[in-house]
Amino acid sequence: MNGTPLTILLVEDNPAHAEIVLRSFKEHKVANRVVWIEDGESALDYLFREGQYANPFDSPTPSVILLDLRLPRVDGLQVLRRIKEHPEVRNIPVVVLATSEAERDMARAYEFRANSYVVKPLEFDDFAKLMSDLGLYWLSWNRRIEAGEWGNTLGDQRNSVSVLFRGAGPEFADDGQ
Amino acid sequence: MKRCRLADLVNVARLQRMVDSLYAAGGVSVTILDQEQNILVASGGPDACLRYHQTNPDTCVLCRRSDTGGVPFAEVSSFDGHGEKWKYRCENGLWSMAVSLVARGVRLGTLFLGKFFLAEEEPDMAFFRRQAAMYGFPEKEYLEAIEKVPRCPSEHLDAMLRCYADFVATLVELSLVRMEAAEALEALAESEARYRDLFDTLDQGVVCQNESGEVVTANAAAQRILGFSLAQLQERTPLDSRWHSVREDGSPFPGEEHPAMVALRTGRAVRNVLMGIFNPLEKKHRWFDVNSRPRTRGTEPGEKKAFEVYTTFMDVTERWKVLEALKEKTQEVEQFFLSVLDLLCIVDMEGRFVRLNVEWEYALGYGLDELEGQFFIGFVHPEDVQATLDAMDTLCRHKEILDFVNRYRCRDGSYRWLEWRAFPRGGRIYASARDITVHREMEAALRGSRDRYQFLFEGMLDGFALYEILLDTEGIPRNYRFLEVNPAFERLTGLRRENVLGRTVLEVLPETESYWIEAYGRVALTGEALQCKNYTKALDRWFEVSAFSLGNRQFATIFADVTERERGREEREDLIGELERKNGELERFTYTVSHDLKSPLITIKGFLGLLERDLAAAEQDLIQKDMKRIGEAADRMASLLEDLLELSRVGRVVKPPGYCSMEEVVRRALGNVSGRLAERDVEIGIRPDMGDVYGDTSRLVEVFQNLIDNAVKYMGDQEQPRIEIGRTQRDGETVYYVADNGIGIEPRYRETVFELFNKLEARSEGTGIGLALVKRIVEVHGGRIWVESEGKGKGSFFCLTLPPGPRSGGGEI
Repeated sequence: MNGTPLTILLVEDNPAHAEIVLRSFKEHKVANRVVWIEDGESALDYLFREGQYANPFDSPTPSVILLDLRLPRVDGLQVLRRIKEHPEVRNIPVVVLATSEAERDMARAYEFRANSYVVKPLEFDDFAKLMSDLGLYWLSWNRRIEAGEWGNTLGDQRNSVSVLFRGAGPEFADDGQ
Repeated sequence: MKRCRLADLVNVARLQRMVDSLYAAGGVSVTILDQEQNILVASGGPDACLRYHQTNPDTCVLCRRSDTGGVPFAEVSSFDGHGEKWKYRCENGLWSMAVSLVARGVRLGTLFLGKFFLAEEEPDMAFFRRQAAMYGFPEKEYLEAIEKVPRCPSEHLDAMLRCYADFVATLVELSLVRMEAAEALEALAESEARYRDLFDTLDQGVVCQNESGEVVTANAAAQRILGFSLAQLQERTPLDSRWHSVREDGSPFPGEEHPAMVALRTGRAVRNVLMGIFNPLEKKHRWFDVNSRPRTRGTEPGEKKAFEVYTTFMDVTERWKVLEALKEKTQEVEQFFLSVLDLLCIVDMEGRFVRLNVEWEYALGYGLDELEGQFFIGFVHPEDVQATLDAMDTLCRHKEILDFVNRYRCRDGSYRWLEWRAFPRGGRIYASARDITVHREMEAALRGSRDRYQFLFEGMLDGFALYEILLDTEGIPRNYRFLEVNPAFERLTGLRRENVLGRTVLEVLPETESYWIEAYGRVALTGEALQCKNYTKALDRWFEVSAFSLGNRQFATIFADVTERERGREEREDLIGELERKNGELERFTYTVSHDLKSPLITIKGFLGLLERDLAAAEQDLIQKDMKRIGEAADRMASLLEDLLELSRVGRVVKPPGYCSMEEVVRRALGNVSGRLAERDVEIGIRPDMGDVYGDTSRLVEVFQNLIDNAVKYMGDQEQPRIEIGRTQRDGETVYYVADNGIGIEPRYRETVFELFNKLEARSEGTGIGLALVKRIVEVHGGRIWVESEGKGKGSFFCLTLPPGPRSGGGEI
């Protein structure tokens, strides 16, 4: 890696699934900072730095967003549409992390310019491998504009935190902190 | 020779001298009497007669009697070339002969020869002595006188008589010839004078020319007519160019062609040649009808040669003018006859075409020569023959025929309808006909279509009405009037024909909306057709209406009762809507289920993988946590399955519905959640008079139980939690509500809260089936449910409706 700590934003309402994701990253040593947010509304607040996420140092712009579709309040597709509509954040790659292979979801996800659509595998080994590959691809292989319209707002100067759980449930309060 | 007397025919004196001379020469005496027995000529005679027999009165009587035919024993015979001949002895004893004188078959008189004795017999002297004694004649002298009577031989007597008779006859004949010649001359002179008069008084001009054409003579009329004196005429021949003769057409009339010259040349008469001759006195042409007749010589017919020609001519200028005018008139009439478009014809009383105009050729296709002379009846359609003969009968009775119609056969065998006008005049029938076939056909077509439309009108299932739009003074449609309606109209609307005709729609149906009048007004005035569906509240029926203009401010509507179709359509649309809704629901359900049931599986499998690693690393804490996760996921799966079962049961298992008190329903629901209410210390308000509802009581209890439970669950940090349950009226509908003063719901979540397994708070308890279940139960009962909230922190207001009684359709899945 190029040494720059990168932030992954995980939007996932199911804590168990979030834990599987995090532990997958850990297993494959995707040494980055992961921000976990449980609902769509909070995810948008984070990206647009509103409410509790107003401080750019606490809410660095992610390099990739892992987005579950089935979310309370604002569902994943709405979050995706909002991201892609907005010039400031639309360049952030969004990987849809879906539970089912519903064609309707996939079609709509791509319609809303999802960068990738993956289905959560049942086997943990597959799950861990997928997360590893995603990290490798989006964080290493994939080339992107470093300092552009969003470069100056990046809050990734801070590299002390490898995994950050934000808005996480009590079960994960101890993890990585 | 009428009444010609002998005395006029012969010179009596000369004849007397001649017979006297002959007597003196020793002949026999001759006496000639005329028709009246007067003695014209008499020569001497014997003394016996003159001195004795004729002087004695007694013997004189005997003489007379004997000589006037009184001798019964006379020999009478015909005498060649003359009349009868007599030979007789008179009663005084002497012989005589007589012959009647005849000229041109007329008896003129009698010639006597005698008295004498026949030479061959001796006179009876004894007789004469007795005579002398008897009548006192001196015997001696008497007998001497007897002795002196001539004695003639019998054979000479006829010759003598013939000689005398012929002589007289010759004299008479000569006289007669002379007289006749004089008479003839007189007659000729008279005749000539008469002809001269005629010649001179004749109105016609007469000119006589010799064989060279020179004028021999000309009558006064000719001189007057031609304007030349006889002398002037005699200077000119017909060849003279000064005549300026012209033909009828105005071209010059060459002199050689003049009828007189032609007659001279050919020896044949030339008749009626019209010739214009310049009259120098009048300085203009006059027109003549000229006839020339040659006088010919020669015995053989072919060799007759004309030596003279008489030319007569009559001034026909006036007549010619009249003829010209007549000709012009005739031409005009002819032109008219030819150019008129009607069929004209003249028919004789037997029914034969005499003349036809050329239109016949166009109309029937025959040549005029095929029609002329033909009996017209032969061209008449067999069915029309009798009527045509009747019409002809009328014409023969000198009455005219008007507007008589029959059919005539064309050359191609088809028939044309002709309408006739005809009148008889002077033994002819003058007729004009018009070809009305097209009219007839159109009429027939119209009649046919009228019948068809009548049939359609009466028999059609659709209602039909004819209206007249009524405008105000500014031309704006305000009303319309019924002009005609059909039986279907009566059937469909229930309005009787006799009650609507002539009346306006606002009289018949006062509640008619003005927009109908406007719409129909547009149809009637612009001709734009209108099609629409119309619900008539009074009849509770749907009508599909087509309106179209008929011009002249009239319009018609055709309408069909489409109520059944509309109801069917509504029902179908309802069914389709319901099916679509259910299909969508099912799809959402399937999606939700596939997603939500798979989710715990991922957890279980994922943590099994982790558990394996943690066991290998003997990480006790993690092992515990992994197992807990697996257990929770399994539990969730179980409850999801249970909820799904419950949800499907709501649709399938239905207890017989009935009426129950709403208050009772609410009380039972509250009882079921009393623990939770007490725990949160929620104040409950129940509005009185909620009335009865119709439905499955235990399900309705479930509805309210879930709503109350939901309200408690989302009460948030409210210090004085309160739930109010009641009934209200909204837009004529009964609405039941469960209101709380909890965290409320943002507008964008008003729909999603009712979705299956959809929770606003990820961590809130339950699977998220509650409101989905409530919605389902309400819908199965035929009601609706929705939520109202002014926003986050403002509380929620769940509303639902339930049908007041049993539903007609089934509500089951």
